[in-house]
Amino acid sequence: MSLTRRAAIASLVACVVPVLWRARALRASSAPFHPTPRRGITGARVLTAAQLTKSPDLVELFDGIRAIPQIADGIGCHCGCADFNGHRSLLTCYEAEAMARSCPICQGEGRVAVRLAKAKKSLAEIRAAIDAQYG
Amino acid sequence: MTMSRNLAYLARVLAAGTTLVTLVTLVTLMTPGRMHAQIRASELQSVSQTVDGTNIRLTYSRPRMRGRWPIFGTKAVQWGEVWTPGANWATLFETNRDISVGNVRVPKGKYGVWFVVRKDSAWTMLLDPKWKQFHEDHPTPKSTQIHIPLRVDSADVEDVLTFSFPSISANGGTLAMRWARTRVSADFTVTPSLSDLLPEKDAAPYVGTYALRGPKDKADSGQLIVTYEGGGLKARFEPEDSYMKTFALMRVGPNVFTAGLYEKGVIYEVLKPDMMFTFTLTPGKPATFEVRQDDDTLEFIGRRKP
Repeated sequence: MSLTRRAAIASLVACVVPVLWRARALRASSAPFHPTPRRGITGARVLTAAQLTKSPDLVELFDGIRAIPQIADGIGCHCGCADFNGHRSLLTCYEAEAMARSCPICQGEGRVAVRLAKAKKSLAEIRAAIDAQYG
Repeated sequence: MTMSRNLAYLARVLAAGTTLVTLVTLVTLMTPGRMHAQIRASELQSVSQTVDGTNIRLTYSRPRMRGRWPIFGTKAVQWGEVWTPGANWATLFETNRDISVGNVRVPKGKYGVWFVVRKDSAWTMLLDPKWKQFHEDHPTPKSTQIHIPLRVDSADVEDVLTFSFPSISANGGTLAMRWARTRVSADFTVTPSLSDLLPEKDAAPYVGTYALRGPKDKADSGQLIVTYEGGGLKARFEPEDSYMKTFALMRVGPNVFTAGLYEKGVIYEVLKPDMMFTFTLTPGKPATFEVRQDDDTLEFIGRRKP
Protein backbone atom coordinates (compact mmCIF):
# COMPACT_ATOMS: atom_id res chain seq x y z
CA MET A 1 0.00 0.00 0.00
CA SER A 2 2.86 2.34 0.98
CA LEU A 3 4.69 1.47 -2.24
CA THR A 4 1.58 2.23 -4.27
CA ARG A 5 1.16 5.64 -2.63
CA ARG A 6 4.81 6.44 -3.31
CA ALA A 7 4.40 5.37 -6.91
CA ALA A 8 1.30 7.51 -7.24
CA ILE A 9 3.12 10.55 -5.83
CA ALA A 10 6.06 9.90 -8.14
CA SER A 11 3.71 9.70 -11.14
CA LEU A 12 2.00 12.91 -10.09
CA VAL A 13 5.34 14.71 -9.77
CA ALA A 14 6.46 13.31 -13.12
CA CYS A 15 3.32 14.68 -14.76
CA VAL A 16 3.05 18.03 -13.00
CA VAL A 17 6.69 19.17 -12.98
CA PRO A 18 7.10 19.26 -16.79
CA VAL A 19 3.79 21.11 -17.11
CA LEU A 20 4.85 23.71 -14.53
CA TRP A 21 8.29 23.96 -16.15
CA ARG A 22 6.68 24.53 -19.56
CA ALA A 23 4.32 27.15 -18.12
CA ARG A 24 7.31 28.94 -16.57
CA ALA A 25 9.14 28.90 -19.89
CA LEU A 26 6.07 30.28 -21.66
CA ARG A 27 5.76 33.06 -19.08
CA ALA A 28 9.42 33.92 -19.58
CA SER A 29 9.09 34.04 -23.38
CA SER A 30 6.12 36.42 -23.23
CA ALA A 31 7.59 38.59 -20.48
CA PRO A 32 6.22 42.14 -20.42
CA PHE A 33 8.49 44.88 -21.77
CA HIS A 34 8.61 46.81 -18.51
CA PRO A 35 10.25 45.01 -15.56
CA THR A 36 8.80 44.85 -12.08
CA PRO A 37 10.83 47.12 -9.77
CA ARG A 38 13.01 45.17 -7.37
CA ARG A 39 11.96 45.44 -3.75
CA GLY A 40 14.37 47.63 -1.78
CA ILE A 41 16.18 48.88 -4.88
CA THR A 42 18.24 52.03 -4.36
CA GLY A 43 19.96 54.54 -6.60
CA ALA A 44 23.31 53.96 -4.90
CA ARG A 45 24.94 52.75 -8.12
CA VAL A 46 23.79 55.70 -10.24
CA LEU A 47 26.81 57.73 -11.36
CA THR A 48 27.62 60.82 -9.31
CA ALA A 49 28.89 64.25 -10.30
CA ALA A 50 32.42 63.03 -9.52
CA GLN A 51 31.97 60.30 -12.15
CA LEU A 52 30.44 62.68 -14.70
CA THR A 53 33.21 65.26 -14.96
CA LYS A 54 33.19 64.98 -18.76
CA SER A 55 29.41 65.52 -18.91
CA PRO A 56 28.55 68.15 -16.28
CA ASP A 57 25.30 68.95 -18.07
CA LEU A 58 24.04 65.46 -17.25
CA VAL A 59 24.60 65.66 -13.48
CA GLU A 60 21.12 67.01 -12.77
CA LEU A 61 19.52 64.22 -14.80
CA PHE A 62 21.56 61.48 -13.06
CA ASP A 63 20.73 63.03 -9.68
CA GLY A 64 17.04 62.98 -10.67
CA ILE A 65 17.21 59.26 -11.54
CA ARG A 66 19.05 58.49 -8.30
CA ALA A 67 16.09 59.96 -6.44
CA ILE A 68 13.51 57.69 -8.13
CA PRO A 69 15.07 54.18 -8.24
CA GLN A 70 11.72 52.46 -7.59
CA ILE A 71 10.34 54.19 -10.73
CA ALA A 72 13.41 53.89 -12.99
CA ASP A 73 13.76 50.19 -12.13
CA GLY A 74 10.21 49.58 -13.39
CA ILE A 75 10.78 51.04 -16.85
CA GLY A 76 12.17 49.17 -19.85
CA CYS A 77 14.45 51.14 -22.16
CA HIS A 78 13.46 51.45 -25.84
CA CYS A 79 16.94 52.22 -27.22
CA GLY A 80 17.86 48.57 -27.69
CA CYS A 81 20.16 48.30 -24.67
CA ALA A 82 17.62 45.94 -23.07
CA ASP A 83 19.09 43.22 -25.30
CA PHE A 84 22.50 43.47 -23.61
CA ASN A 85 23.51 40.99 -20.96
CA GLY A 86 23.10 42.32 -17.45
CA HIS A 87 20.70 45.06 -18.49
CA ARG A 88 17.53 45.18 -16.43
CA SER A 89 15.78 48.55 -16.57
CA LEU A 90 16.17 52.27 -17.23
CA LEU A 91 17.98 52.44 -13.91
CA THR A 92 20.74 50.25 -15.42
CA CYS A 93 21.27 52.92 -18.11
CA TYR A 94 22.45 55.26 -15.36
CA GLU A 95 24.72 52.80 -13.53
CA ALA A 96 28.27 51.50 -14.09
CA GLU A 97 28.97 51.87 -17.84
CA ALA A 98 25.93 54.17 -17.92
CA MET A 99 24.71 54.19 -21.49
CA ALA A 100 22.75 57.35 -20.61
CA ARG A 101 26.05 59.28 -20.72
CA SER A 102 25.81 59.20 -24.51
CA CYS A 103 22.44 57.77 -25.59
CA PRO A 104 19.78 60.44 -26.31
CA ILE A 105 16.96 57.93 -25.89
CA CYS A 106 18.11 56.83 -22.40
CA GLN A 107 18.44 60.53 -21.53
CA GLY A 108 15.03 61.49 -22.95
CA GLU A 109 13.27 58.61 -21.18
CA GLY A 110 15.05 59.56 -17.96
CA ARG A 111 13.96 63.19 -18.23
CA VAL A 112 10.34 62.18 -18.85
CA ALA A 113 10.47 59.81 -15.86
CA VAL A 114 11.95 62.44 -13.53
CA ARG A 115 9.50 65.15 -14.63
CA LEU A 116 6.41 62.95 -14.35
CA ALA A 117 7.54 61.45 -11.03
CA LYS A 118 7.84 64.99 -9.67
CA ALA A 119 4.29 65.60 -10.93
CA LYS A 120 3.20 62.61 -8.78
CA LYS A 121 2.30 60.47 -11.79
CA SER A 122 2.07 56.72 -11.21
CA LEU A 123 4.53 54.20 -12.62
CA ALA A 124 1.84 53.05 -15.08
CA GLU A 125 1.31 56.62 -16.33
CA ILE A 126 5.05 57.19 -16.69
CA ARG A 127 5.46 53.93 -18.61
CA ALA A 128 2.58 54.94 -20.93
CA ALA A 129 4.16 58.35 -21.61
CA ILE A 130 7.54 56.80 -22.38
CA ASP A 131 6.00 54.13 -24.61
CA ALA A 132 4.04 56.80 -26.53
CA GLN A 133 7.13 58.85 -27.25
CA TYR A 134 9.94 56.31 -27.57
CA GLY A 135 8.21 52.96 -28.10
CA MET B 1 66.36 -6.61 -22.67
CA THR B 2 64.08 -6.68 -25.67
CA MET B 3 61.31 -5.17 -23.58
CA SER B 4 63.46 -2.18 -22.50
CA ARG B 5 64.60 -1.58 -26.11
CA ASN B 6 60.99 -1.53 -27.21
CA LEU B 7 60.10 0.95 -24.48
CA ALA B 8 63.00 3.22 -25.46
CA TYR B 9 61.90 3.05 -29.10
CA LEU B 10 58.33 3.91 -28.08
CA ALA B 11 59.56 6.89 -26.04
CA ARG B 12 61.56 8.19 -29.05
CA VAL B 13 58.52 7.83 -31.32
CA LEU B 14 56.30 9.66 -28.84
CA ALA B 15 58.91 12.44 -28.44
CA ALA B 16 59.18 12.79 -32.22
CA GLY B 17 55.40 12.84 -32.50
CA THR B 18 55.13 15.55 -29.85
CA THR B 19 57.76 17.64 -31.65
CA LEU B 20 55.89 17.23 -34.94
CA VAL B 21 52.59 18.27 -33.36
CA THR B 22 54.29 21.29 -31.78
CA LEU B 23 55.84 22.31 -35.12
CA VAL B 24 52.52 22.00 -36.97
CA THR B 25 50.80 24.03 -34.26
CA LEU B 26 53.44 26.76 -34.41
CA VAL B 27 53.32 26.97 -38.22
CA THR B 28 49.52 27.18 -38.07
CA LEU B 29 49.61 29.93 -35.46
CA MET B 30 52.28 31.89 -37.35
CA THR B 31 50.17 32.08 -40.51
CA PRO B 32 46.95 33.57 -39.22
CA GLY B 33 44.02 34.12 -41.52
CA ARG B 34 45.39 32.27 -44.53
CA MET B 35 42.59 29.76 -44.33
CA HIS B 36 39.91 32.49 -44.15
CA ALA B 37 40.90 34.88 -46.93
CA GLN B 38 39.77 33.66 -50.31
CA ILE B 39 39.18 35.38 -53.60
CA ARG B 40 35.84 34.27 -54.95
CA ALA B 41 34.33 34.63 -58.41
CA SER B 42 31.11 35.65 -56.69
CA GLU B 43 31.83 37.72 -53.60
CA LEU B 44 29.39 37.91 -50.73
CA GLN B 45 27.20 40.97 -50.12
CA SER B 46 24.46 41.88 -47.72
CA VAL B 47 21.99 44.74 -48.29
CA SER B 48 19.24 45.79 -45.95
CA GLN B 49 16.57 48.44 -45.68
CA THR B 50 14.55 49.57 -42.69
CA VAL B 51 11.10 51.07 -43.22
CA ASP B 52 9.05 52.08 -40.17
CA GLY B 53 10.88 49.58 -37.98
CA THR B 54 10.63 46.68 -40.43
CA ASN B 55 14.05 45.47 -41.57
CA ILE B 56 14.46 43.57 -44.84
CA ARG B 57 17.84 42.01 -45.60
CA LEU B 58 19.24 40.10 -48.56
CA THR B 59 22.49 38.16 -48.31
CA TYR B 60 23.88 36.74 -51.52
CA SER B 61 26.96 35.90 -53.52
CA ARG B 62 27.34 38.19 -56.54
CA PRO B 63 28.22 36.51 -59.85
CA ARG B 64 29.95 38.63 -62.51
CA MET B 65 29.30 38.40 -66.24
CA ARG B 66 32.96 37.53 -67.01
CA GLY B 67 32.45 37.82 -70.76
CA ARG B 68 29.24 35.83 -70.80
CA TRP B 69 26.65 37.54 -72.94
CA PRO B 70 23.74 37.32 -72.83
CA ILE B 71 23.10 35.78 -69.43
CA PHE B 72 19.42 34.90 -69.51
CA GLY B 73 18.21 32.29 -71.96
CA THR B 74 21.66 30.72 -72.24
CA LYS B 75 23.63 28.02 -70.47
CA ALA B 76 24.27 30.46 -67.64
CA VAL B 77 20.56 30.83 -66.80
CA GLN B 78 18.12 28.92 -68.97
CA TRP B 79 14.52 29.88 -69.73
CA GLY B 80 12.17 28.01 -67.45
CA GLU B 81 14.88 27.44 -64.89
CA VAL B 82 14.20 27.85 -61.16
CA TRP B 83 17.30 29.88 -60.46
CA THR B 84 18.61 31.54 -57.34
CA PRO B 85 19.60 35.14 -58.13
CA GLY B 86 23.13 34.79 -56.84
CA ALA B 87 25.77 32.11 -56.62
CA ASN B 88 26.94 29.39 -54.25
CA TRP B 89 24.26 29.18 -51.53
CA ALA B 90 20.74 30.33 -52.38
CA THR B 91 20.18 34.05 -51.84
CA LEU B 92 18.84 34.63 -48.33
CA PHE B 93 15.85 36.92 -47.69
CA GLU B 94 15.06 37.96 -44.11
CA THR B 95 12.35 40.16 -42.66
CA ASN B 96 11.85 40.86 -38.96
CA ARG B 97 8.11 41.59 -39.35
CA ASP B 98 5.31 40.46 -41.63
CA ILE B 99 5.34 42.34 -44.93
CA SER B 100 3.64 42.24 -48.29
CA VAL B 101 5.69 41.81 -51.49
CA GLY B 102 3.90 42.21 -54.81
CA ASN B 103 0.61 42.14 -52.83
CA VAL B 104 1.50 38.71 -51.42
CA ARG B 105 1.82 38.34 -47.63
CA VAL B 106 5.25 37.27 -46.42
CA PRO B 107 5.39 36.31 -42.71
CA LYS B 108 8.49 37.37 -40.80
CA GLY B 109 11.33 34.89 -41.13
CA LYS B 110 14.12 33.59 -43.36
CA TYR B 111 13.65 32.39 -46.92
CA GLY B 112 15.74 31.11 -49.79
CA VAL B 113 15.12 33.24 -52.90
CA TRP B 114 14.51 31.63 -56.28
CA PHE B 115 13.31 33.13 -59.56
CA VAL B 116 11.29 31.24 -62.14
CA VAL B 117 12.92 32.70 -65.26
CA ARG B 118 10.66 32.88 -68.32
CA LYS B 119 11.24 34.19 -71.82
CA ASP B 120 7.77 35.37 -72.83
CA SER B 121 5.85 35.81 -69.59
CA ALA B 122 6.22 37.36 -66.20
CA TRP B 123 8.84 36.05 -63.83
CA THR B 124 7.96 34.71 -60.42
CA MET B 125 9.89 35.00 -57.17
CA LEU B 126 9.69 31.92 -55.02
CA LEU B 127 10.46 32.34 -51.32
CA ASP B 128 11.30 28.99 -49.76
CA PRO B 129 11.29 28.59 -45.95
CA LYS B 130 14.00 25.97 -46.49
CA TRP B 131 16.53 28.78 -46.92
CA LYS B 132 19.85 26.94 -46.71
CA GLN B 133 20.14 25.30 -50.12
CA PHE B 134 23.00 25.15 -52.59
CA HIS B 135 22.31 26.86 -55.92
CA GLU B 136 22.32 23.56 -57.82
CA ASP B 137 19.88 22.02 -55.36
CA HIS B 138 16.73 23.46 -56.95
CA PRO B 139 13.70 23.48 -54.64
CA THR B 140 10.84 21.09 -55.23
CA PRO B 141 7.31 22.57 -55.15
CA LYS B 142 5.85 22.77 -51.65
CA SER B 143 2.77 24.45 -50.23
CA THR B 144 4.93 26.43 -47.80
CA GLN B 145 6.66 28.29 -50.63
CA ILE B 146 5.48 31.81 -51.41
CA HIS B 147 5.02 32.82 -55.05
CA ILE B 148 5.36 36.51 -55.92
CA PRO B 149 4.87 38.07 -59.37
CA LEU B 150 7.81 40.17 -60.59
CA ARG B 151 8.15 43.02 -63.07
CA VAL B 152 10.84 42.49 -65.69
CA ASP B 153 12.31 45.21 -67.91
CA SER B 154 15.62 46.17 -69.42
CA ALA B 155 18.20 48.61 -68.09
CA ASP B 156 21.82 49.67 -68.58
CA VAL B 157 24.36 46.86 -68.35
CA GLU B 158 25.15 45.78 -64.79
CA ASP B 159 28.24 43.56 -64.73
CA VAL B 160 27.73 42.24 -61.21
CA LEU B 161 24.39 40.86 -60.01
CA THR B 162 23.05 43.54 -57.68
CA PHE B 163 20.11 43.77 -55.30
CA SER B 164 18.95 47.21 -54.21
CA PHE B 165 16.05 49.22 -52.84
CA PRO B 166 15.71 51.95 -55.50
CA SER B 167 12.64 53.61 -53.98
CA ILE B 168 11.38 54.04 -50.43
CA SER B 169 8.18 55.51 -48.99
CA ALA B 170 6.77 55.84 -45.47
CA ASN B 171 5.19 52.40 -45.68
CA GLY B 172 7.19 50.46 -48.24
CA GLY B 173 9.41 50.60 -51.27
CA THR B 174 10.76 48.64 -54.20
CA LEU B 175 13.12 45.69 -54.15
CA ALA B 176 15.09 45.25 -57.37
CA MET B 177 17.67 42.92 -58.86
CA ARG B 178 19.82 43.86 -61.84
CA TRP B 179 22.17 41.75 -63.89
CA ALA B 180 23.33 42.15 -67.47
CA ARG B 181 20.56 44.21 -69.11
CA THR B 182 17.76 42.74 -67.03
CA ARG B 183 16.03 44.49 -64.15
CA VAL B 184 13.53 42.58 -62.00
CA SER B 185 11.52 44.31 -59.29
CA ALA B 186 8.60 44.06 -56.90
CA ASP B 187 7.01 46.59 -54.58
CA PHE B 188 6.73 45.83 -50.88
CA THR B 189 4.70 47.34 -48.06
CA VAL B 190 5.24 47.11 -44.32
CA THR B 191 2.68 47.18 -41.52
CA PRO B 192 2.43 50.85 -40.48
CA SER B 193 3.18 51.49 -36.81
CA LEU B 194 0.95 54.59 -36.76
CA SER B 195 -2.12 55.84 -38.62
CA ASP B 196 -3.31 59.33 -39.51
CA LEU B 197 -6.90 58.08 -39.25
CA LEU B 198 -9.01 58.54 -36.14
CA PRO B 199 -12.77 58.05 -35.58
CA GLU B 200 -14.55 61.42 -35.50
CA LYS B 201 -15.92 60.92 -31.99
CA ASP B 202 -12.39 60.24 -30.68
CA ALA B 203 -11.05 63.29 -32.51
CA ALA B 204 -13.77 65.75 -31.48
CA PRO B 205 -12.35 66.70 -28.04
CA TYR B 206 -9.14 68.02 -29.65
CA VAL B 207 -10.65 70.08 -32.48
CA GLY B 208 -10.35 73.86 -32.09
CA THR B 209 -8.03 76.84 -32.28
CA TYR B 210 -5.25 76.98 -29.70
CA ALA B 211 -3.26 80.03 -28.65
CA LEU B 212 0.47 79.22 -28.47
CA ARG B 213 2.99 80.48 -25.99
CA GLY B 214 6.65 79.55 -25.45
CA PRO B 215 7.70 78.61 -21.91
CA LYS B 216 9.44 81.96 -21.39
CA ASP B 217 7.08 84.10 -23.46
CA LYS B 218 4.85 86.66 -21.83
CA ALA B 219 2.47 86.85 -24.77
CA ASP B 220 1.00 84.44 -27.31
CA SER B 221 3.24 83.87 -30.31
CA GLY B 222 0.73 82.35 -32.73
CA GLN B 223 -1.94 79.71 -32.91
CA LEU B 224 -2.52 76.12 -33.91
CA ILE B 225 -5.70 75.27 -35.78
CA VAL B 226 -6.82 71.67 -35.31
CA THR B 227 -9.56 70.34 -37.61
CA TYR B 228 -11.10 67.01 -38.52
CA GLU B 229 -10.55 66.26 -42.21
CA GLY B 230 -10.11 63.18 -44.33
CA GLY B 231 -10.87 60.84 -41.45
CA GLY B 232 -8.26 62.22 -39.08
CA LEU B 233 -6.97 65.21 -37.12
CA LYS B 234 -5.14 67.83 -39.18
CA ALA B 235 -3.28 70.82 -37.80
CA ARG B 236 -1.53 73.92 -39.08
CA PHE B 237 0.33 76.75 -37.43
CA GLU B 238 -0.47 80.43 -37.88
CA PRO B 239 1.77 82.00 -38.96
CA GLU B 240 2.37 79.06 -41.28
CA ASP B 241 5.33 76.77 -40.70
CA SER B 242 6.70 76.31 -44.23
CA TYR B 243 8.27 72.95 -43.33
CA MET B 244 5.30 71.37 -41.59
CA LYS B 245 2.48 73.07 -43.52
CA THR B 246 -0.76 71.15 -42.78
CA PHE B 247 0.21 68.03 -40.86
CA ALA B 248 -1.54 65.05 -39.29
CA LEU B 249 -1.90 64.73 -35.55
CA MET B 250 -1.29 60.99 -35.14
CA ARG B 251 -2.34 59.41 -31.87
CA VAL B 252 0.44 57.46 -30.13
CA GLY B 253 -1.06 57.12 -26.66
CA PRO B 254 -3.90 58.35 -24.46
CA ASN B 255 -4.08 62.12 -25.20
CA VAL B 256 -0.61 61.96 -26.80
CA PHE B 257 -0.06 62.78 -30.47
CA THR B 258 2.85 63.31 -32.81
CA ALA B 259 3.09 65.15 -36.14
CA GLY B 260 2.95 63.36 -39.48
CA LEU B 261 4.16 65.42 -42.43
CA TYR B 262 2.54 65.11 -45.86
CA GLU B 263 3.90 65.20 -49.36
CA LYS B 264 1.31 64.96 -52.11
CA GLY B 265 -1.24 63.72 -49.60
CA VAL B 266 0.92 60.87 -48.29
CA ILE B 267 2.76 60.79 -44.96
CA TYR B 268 6.50 60.85 -45.57
CA GLU B 269 7.87 61.64 -42.11
CA VAL B 270 6.63 61.21 -38.56
CA LEU B 271 8.20 63.50 -35.94
CA LYS B 272 8.34 60.94 -33.14
CA PRO B 273 9.95 61.30 -30.61
CA ASP B 274 11.00 64.83 -31.68
CA MET B 275 7.62 66.58 -31.45
CA MET B 276 5.07 65.22 -29.01
CA PHE B 277 1.72 66.88 -28.28
CA THR B 278 0.32 65.91 -24.87
CA PHE B 279 -3.24 67.18 -24.32
CA THR B 280 -4.99 67.76 -21.01
CA LEU B 281 -8.77 67.56 -21.16
CA THR B 282 -10.42 68.68 -17.94
CA PRO B 283 -14.24 69.01 -17.85
CA GLY B 284 -15.25 72.64 -17.46
CA LYS B 285 -11.82 73.94 -18.51
CA PRO B 286 -10.43 74.73 -21.95
CA ALA B 287 -8.29 71.99 -23.42
CA THR B 288 -4.54 72.58 -23.27
CA PHE B 289 -1.48 70.85 -24.65
CA GLU B 290 2.26 70.82 -24.25
CA VAL B 291 4.69 70.22 -27.09
CA ARG B 292 7.94 68.60 -26.04
CA GLN B 293 11.05 67.57 -27.95
CA ASP B 294 12.91 64.25 -27.82
CA ASP B 295 15.00 65.48 -24.90
CA ASP B 296 11.79 66.44 -23.07
CA THR B 297 12.41 70.16 -23.55
CA LEU B 298 9.13 72.09 -23.43
CA GLU B 299 8.77 73.88 -26.77
CA PHE B 300 5.43 75.61 -26.27
CA ILE B 301 2.04 75.38 -24.62
CA GLY B 302 -1.35 75.57 -26.36
CA ARG B 303 -4.60 76.73 -24.79
CA ARG B 304 -7.89 76.34 -26.66
CA LYS B 305 -9.60 79.62 -27.47
CA PRO B 306 -13.29 80.02 -26.58
